[in-house]
Amino acid sequence: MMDSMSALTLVLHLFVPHHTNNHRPKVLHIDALIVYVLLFGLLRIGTGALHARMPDILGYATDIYVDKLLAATNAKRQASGLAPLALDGQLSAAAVRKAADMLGNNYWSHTSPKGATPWQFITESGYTYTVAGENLAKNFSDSQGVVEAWMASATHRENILKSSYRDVGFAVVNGILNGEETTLVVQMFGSRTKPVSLAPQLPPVVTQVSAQTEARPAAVASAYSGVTIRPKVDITKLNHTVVTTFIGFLLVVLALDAWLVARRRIMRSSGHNIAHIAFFIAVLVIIGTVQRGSLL
Amino acid sequence: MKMQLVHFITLFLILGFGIATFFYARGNATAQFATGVVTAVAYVCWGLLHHAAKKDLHANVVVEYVLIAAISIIVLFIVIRS
Repeated sequence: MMDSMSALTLVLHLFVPHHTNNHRPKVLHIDALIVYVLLFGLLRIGTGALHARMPDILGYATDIYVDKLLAATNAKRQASGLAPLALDGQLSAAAVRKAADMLGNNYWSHTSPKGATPWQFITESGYTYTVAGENLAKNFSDSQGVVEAWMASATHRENILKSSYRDVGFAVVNGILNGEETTLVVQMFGSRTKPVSLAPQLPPVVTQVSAQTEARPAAVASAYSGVTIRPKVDITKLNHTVVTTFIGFLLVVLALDAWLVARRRIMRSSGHNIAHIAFFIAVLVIIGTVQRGSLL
Repeated sequence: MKMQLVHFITLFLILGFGIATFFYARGNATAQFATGVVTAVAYVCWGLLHHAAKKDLHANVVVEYVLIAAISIIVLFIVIRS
């Protein structure tokens, strides 16, 4: 009986405005909020350290392949009444060189620190173009997600839906960029100069690239045709679950507290519960729109 | 009562603008995180002004708003960087 009474008191103390907690749930006290900040800091550091030591156990699930990227890209074009693009070995070789250059020189940009532009990579791969372009993506978890993100960005969408492009090349490669494990996706577009044409080369619409060494295009491209990583625990899902559960918990406690304080007409000095609730709902909405990955 | 209404309309505008900007910046993790930080700081400012207007701005209230913002920033950092 005593145990059940003390358990009830503890629950009231933690989650309900009560005389034992100065009429503010203990889980909303300043010291509790400090503990949450520290715990999330530890979560970030802990998952990072575990990932570095045991990437097979705790890692970033990734499943991106060139054939799926090509299919998704062409599906978007055909949905807009455009002709599908043909996968070109030389453009793929240029994309591979670009990806290797980014990882080798540790940059995330359309132009390398040495000033190499995308059309240089394309030209050095042997592809002679009248028009060319480049889309970049990193750290997405699947092929469809990459293409959907490009389509949601006006400049990348413009590349995918440009009617003058005939060919496309891809590279998907995993490596270390800025000290972090990164999956890069390079998409290069082009339209070949006709052999008999004397038309001058036009500058690429969107550019990037830098070429380095001579390589056998087909062999290199096939080595960069996709990345699959299947850890036992996906860090992205783990973090989303922990964060949304925690904010959901805070919302419930804040709502209960607001209701009881209003009902009991408790006067106290604290932040405004309704404002906190609105703020955390906004945080939940924001977190719900977060997609893993960045574009350039 | 009218003052409260104006305050909360302002708060919802701040949060709505933050959500819209965050959505607009999708695909750019750095810009999204910056948007989150700015929104959290704006929330703290709103809280301080709101309580100052109500004449119940105390040190514990200031710390509470700062910590709520800090929680949201670290949570956002974890989600964006994962």
